[in-house]
Amino acid sequence: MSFLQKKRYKIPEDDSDPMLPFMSLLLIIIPVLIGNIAFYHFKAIELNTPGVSKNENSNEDVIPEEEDKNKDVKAIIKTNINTVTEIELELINEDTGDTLEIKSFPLTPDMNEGEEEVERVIAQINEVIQSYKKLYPRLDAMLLSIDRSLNYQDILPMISILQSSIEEKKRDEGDGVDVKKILTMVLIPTGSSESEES
Amino acid sequence: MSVKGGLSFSKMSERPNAKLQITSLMDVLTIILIFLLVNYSDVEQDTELPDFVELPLLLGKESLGGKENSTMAIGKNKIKLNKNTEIQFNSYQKEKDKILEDIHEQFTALIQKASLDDENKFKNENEKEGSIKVVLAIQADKDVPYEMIDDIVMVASNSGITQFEFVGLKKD
Repeated sequence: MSFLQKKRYKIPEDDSDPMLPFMSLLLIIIPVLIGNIAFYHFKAIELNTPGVSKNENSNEDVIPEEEDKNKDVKAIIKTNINTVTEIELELINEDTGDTLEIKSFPLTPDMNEGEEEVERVIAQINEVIQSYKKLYPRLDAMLLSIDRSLNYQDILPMISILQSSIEEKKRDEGDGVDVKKILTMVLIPTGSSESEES
Repeated sequence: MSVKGGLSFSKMSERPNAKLQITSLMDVLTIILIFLLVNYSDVEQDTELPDFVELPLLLGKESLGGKENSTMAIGKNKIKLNKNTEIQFNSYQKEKDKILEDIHEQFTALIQKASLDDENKFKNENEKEGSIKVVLAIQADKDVPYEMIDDIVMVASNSGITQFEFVGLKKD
């Protein structure tokens, strides 16, 4: 012990600051981080227009036997966004054009503020879509019809809610969550002709 | 180094243990490091946000998208596709036909460029099939009427673009 102590005292005293190696490391890390900094955090909502409506994420589900009567019915959900206070889901038989069911989901004014409120609406719509999907296994698309008088700011949160509603989250083998879209969102552009006619 | 005694370089050099005081610098660097780590993105961000567009805020944890290869910025009086020249107008309603015609021309050029790129990329015909894919990201100002976006989506669809991304700013 005394030998070690003696030896330690013999080490020449280093005049440089002990923080200098850390400083050098920071000076390397900071330019690398500056190069990869994101000044804007975007959120994008994927939409298709008629023409490409194949859902890459959807797989052919096994149809249970008790749902045989509806398995050949090609149903589609038409979502009407006419006001900022309501989202309307309309289940349509694609072959006959008949409306099978209409459901409305009121939106509260604090929708843009409260995340809990948004989560609640997403869960409600998701539940309805899942029940439709069980009844009509060939249901694979959600059409979006948006009123032309609304602003981009009004419609974007509503489309975002719908986007989250068509996602099915499952835990994968690891601890991660596998997100799968059960429907393809198809935007229906009406163009100027419709409004001019009306 | 007193003022009274004057500044003497010879005295300064003789001072024992003249160390650089880096504590305050360390504090600054640590704050910068934390800020940079919070805003770090492993995805290369090519998308610029033009000054005439104020995006709406969106709730949500996941940042979806990122598949876009073309961006259209739509402001109240300006429209810009990628790095093309801006289309400026005073009243959308009055100049609608001309604006949509200009946009159609730009979309057509974009599709032609994309198909040319694909021809160079895929020599094999089987690979080339269905590979032309233009995904258009729409960055519209929060006060832009959907009427304008709807018309542009319609023109894009007619030009052969069928995949879109509606972009907003993620609300933290």
